[in-house]
Amino acid sequence: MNKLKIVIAIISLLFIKIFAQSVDVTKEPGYVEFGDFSAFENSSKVTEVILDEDLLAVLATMSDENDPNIMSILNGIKLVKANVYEINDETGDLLRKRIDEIDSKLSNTQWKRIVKTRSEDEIANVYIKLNDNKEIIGLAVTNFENGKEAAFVNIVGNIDLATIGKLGKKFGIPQLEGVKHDNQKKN
Amino acid sequence: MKTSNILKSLVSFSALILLTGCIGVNRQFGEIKDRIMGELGTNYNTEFQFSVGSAAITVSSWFVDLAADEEYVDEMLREISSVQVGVYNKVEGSNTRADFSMLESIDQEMKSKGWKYIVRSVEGDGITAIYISADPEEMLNKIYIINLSNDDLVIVEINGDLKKVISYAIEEKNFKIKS
Repeated sequence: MNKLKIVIAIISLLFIKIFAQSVDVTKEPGYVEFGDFSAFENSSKVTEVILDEDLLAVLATMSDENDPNIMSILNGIKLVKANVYEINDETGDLLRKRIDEIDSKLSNTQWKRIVKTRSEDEIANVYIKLNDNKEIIGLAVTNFENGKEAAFVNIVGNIDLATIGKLGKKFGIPQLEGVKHDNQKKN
Repeated sequence: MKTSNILKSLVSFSALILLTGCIGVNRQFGEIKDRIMGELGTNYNTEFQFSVGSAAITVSSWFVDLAADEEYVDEMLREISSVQVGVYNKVEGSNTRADFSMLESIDQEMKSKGWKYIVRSVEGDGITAIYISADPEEMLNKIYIINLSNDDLVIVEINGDLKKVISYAIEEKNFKIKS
């Protein structure tokens, strides 16, 4: 009987592991599909970053209370992805258009835009998605700086408002550093 | 201490250094390097390639202790068990321009060998890509860095407990979205 319990426990653990590995992050409510970027891949500067849940979970364990570091803020995050493209004459209008399309798409769904900067040369938008408990489960940033770069960032998972600024500072997304302050003012 | 004991100690110490470090790269490293060069379609001459084992890394970490102000580097070195490095010079006359399709080709090759990228970038004529193992059990135990510039190709494979190395790589190569 004990052997049977052990076998059941092992099989259960294996199922949990298989299930955990097969979760598709693109189905997460905080995931944003920015669209096909192949038209921009010929830019002279392209950077892509993908940090998935497996990696983030392990990195998050690197921190403890006595030694808080960047990795503690990754706890609960399932995906960090960033696409950055240098803007040139060919891609400038297309990238600006893409940012507008994403803005329309997110504004028409359950995403909330919490930062909006728009001038002739610059667009910066920060969006968050909340669950029923008003917890942030997704964050998206789009940024366009004429003659420089366009960036698309999506962070999926449970994001602590108090750590968004840190996240922005550590990952070089200054738009996020003012989010906590702005959001608190609105509330 | 008897002369024979001193001799034994010297031989053991030398063996420790020589057998675990400063020897040629392993077959898998060589295979991946050949495939990457194949994808790049450019001729390269080997400037040097070697592997360094844990003993040699420990010795080098002593020097880091003395020389570096940055304690973090020393800590990272202590957790590395082996490093394989290859530096290859582009043959004069070869004129392949780095672009995203090249990065995609390298990515396909690396994927087939069980690696996944965390950062990849094309900048001017250069390519940088950082890969970790796609196997969740091995994810933080090995990292593969490819850097292609106008003049040379540098490939580095690092093995060990690489949490610190990977977190450092992520922080260093952040998104840099300036407002």
